[in-house]
Amino acid sequence: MTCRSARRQLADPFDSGDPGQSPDLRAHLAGCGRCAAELEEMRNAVAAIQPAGRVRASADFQERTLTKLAAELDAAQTARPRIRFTPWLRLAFTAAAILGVVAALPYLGTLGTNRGEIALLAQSIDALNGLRSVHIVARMRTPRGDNFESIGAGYDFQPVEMWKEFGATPRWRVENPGRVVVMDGEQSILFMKPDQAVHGGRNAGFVEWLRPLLDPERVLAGELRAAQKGESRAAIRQEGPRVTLTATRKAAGEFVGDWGRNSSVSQSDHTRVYQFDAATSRLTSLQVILHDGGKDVVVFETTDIRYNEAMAAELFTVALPDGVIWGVRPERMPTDRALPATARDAAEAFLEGLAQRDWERVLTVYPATAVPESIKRDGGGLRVISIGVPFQSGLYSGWYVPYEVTLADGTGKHWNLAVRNDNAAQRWLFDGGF
Amino acid sequence: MMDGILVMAQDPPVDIAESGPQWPQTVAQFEALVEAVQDDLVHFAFCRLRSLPDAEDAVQDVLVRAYLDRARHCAVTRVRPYLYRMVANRCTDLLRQRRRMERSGPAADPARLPSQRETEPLAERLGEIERLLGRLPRLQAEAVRLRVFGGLPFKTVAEAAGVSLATAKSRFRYGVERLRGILHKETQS
Repeated sequence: MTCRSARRQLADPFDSGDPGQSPDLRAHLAGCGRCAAELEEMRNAVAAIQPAGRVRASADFQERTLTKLAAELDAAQTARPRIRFTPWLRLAFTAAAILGVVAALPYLGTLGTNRGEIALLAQSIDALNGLRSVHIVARMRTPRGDNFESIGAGYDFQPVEMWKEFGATPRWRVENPGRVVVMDGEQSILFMKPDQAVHGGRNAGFVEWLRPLLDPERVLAGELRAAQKGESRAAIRQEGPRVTLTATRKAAGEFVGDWGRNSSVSQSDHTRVYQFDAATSRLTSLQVILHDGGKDVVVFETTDIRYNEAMAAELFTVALPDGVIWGVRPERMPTDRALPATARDAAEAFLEGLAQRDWERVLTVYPATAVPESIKRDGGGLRVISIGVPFQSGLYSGWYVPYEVTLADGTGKHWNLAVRNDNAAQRWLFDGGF
Repeated sequence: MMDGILVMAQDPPVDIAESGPQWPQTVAQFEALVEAVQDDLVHFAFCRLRSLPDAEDAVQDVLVRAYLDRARHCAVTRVRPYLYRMVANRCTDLLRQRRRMERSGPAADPARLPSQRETEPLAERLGEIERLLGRLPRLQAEAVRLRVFGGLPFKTVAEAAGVSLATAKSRFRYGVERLRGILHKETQS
């Protein structure tokens, strides 16, 4: 070996992966003092730039890195609120929610710092991979034909069914015996059988508390975040192939005379029992148990959750009857008559309008193109006995107005009308309670 | 504490050994990667930046960016060299920023954190080393840093620099030879 070729190999002794010298180089160095001296000087030079010590990452470096990632993903979501959700974006945004919770795990009241939760949360991202659709079959104790919010321990179970197709343009449908909501990717329609419909956007609140179930992969993170905020007490338990998340919440809202208490899931003391498949982290069931004094009543429970079913396009449309009465936005309602200035005025316009069969007056507070036949039939010609002092209770942002009437068939009715003006036009509207 | 114990990580940890590493595609894999590389990368960045908070920020930036861009990098088969290159580039950017700030006026002297006080002697020594390495051609200095600060074998140095193994060794050797000359001159003067 020549000195020239030996010097080409003088880096080899510094290789941590293969620090050995070739036999040829070793032999050359043994016989060539100049090359051996050069190697020695190289060793000295490398020694001169060796750090005197070694630093390590801080103990919380990993946690802070996860927090930073969550913040980045959240920022991306905030910056592009109207972006279409490709599968990758859904993955990223779900990761943001989950990572936010991961970062908060050490602070969760009943959840502790077990890394199992992190694993479950992280794994639930994988549950999203390949998720094309979800179909939830459930039942709920609610008045037949009512909205998706009302519950009551004394009501019979009514079926509720939900479908969602994921992808770049998610679509969904929620249905109970009295109502259908479809969201076709661009807009939603609420159909209240038999003759009323309302247009809404992609995020219209027609399905109330059921909405999160349409994103089952986010349920876990959402519940843990609620626990972090102190809105619930949550616990996770794994038993064989099943992971159970139990979240117990107190009724939200300030109640006047208990009006509204236990009328919806949010306004009741209740426990949500979620079950997830341990292998996939997919939601497999949900049961909501209402705690009413010493009595526990199941008010909602899924009976089947199916993933990745093929869904026909027709599922995300709804056939409306001829002459359907459309909901009207408050700012487009007629203004050619005197408008109510208070909650009580609104109740009076509705009830007195019914009493006099003055449908135009009813339409000053009823946000639709016409008064439905069912209201005309039930309320037309009623006699107003009293209209009381409006009050607020629970989570409802409108007002309740006590009233007592005698219907045309002689039946007496004493209840609370719901009216509200929390819309952009600040117009008083009838919102239920008849 | 929670009522039950839950251990169910299903994702295999990211293999950052020689065979078959993959870019993290799930949070569990990301978490495993962070745990596996954090100390090495922070030390590597610290050697350039001489500030532990800055080094951790730089490595965090790189790791977060690595996860955000995971779709783009899913075909990368060796994670570690790629991360070292990203950290090296990030450190270079930060040092440029630092120099710009120094030119625009003296920076406020922030209260030193305990971690900074602990690492101060080490940082001083690294300042001297960086002064020497700063006199080498950039590519040679980078090869020396990856090998000496990063502790990487030449095979990984080559991958990180995107050059052949022979080129990586040459850059290292020429860099060390030049360093010898600089040290010799300084000793004499």
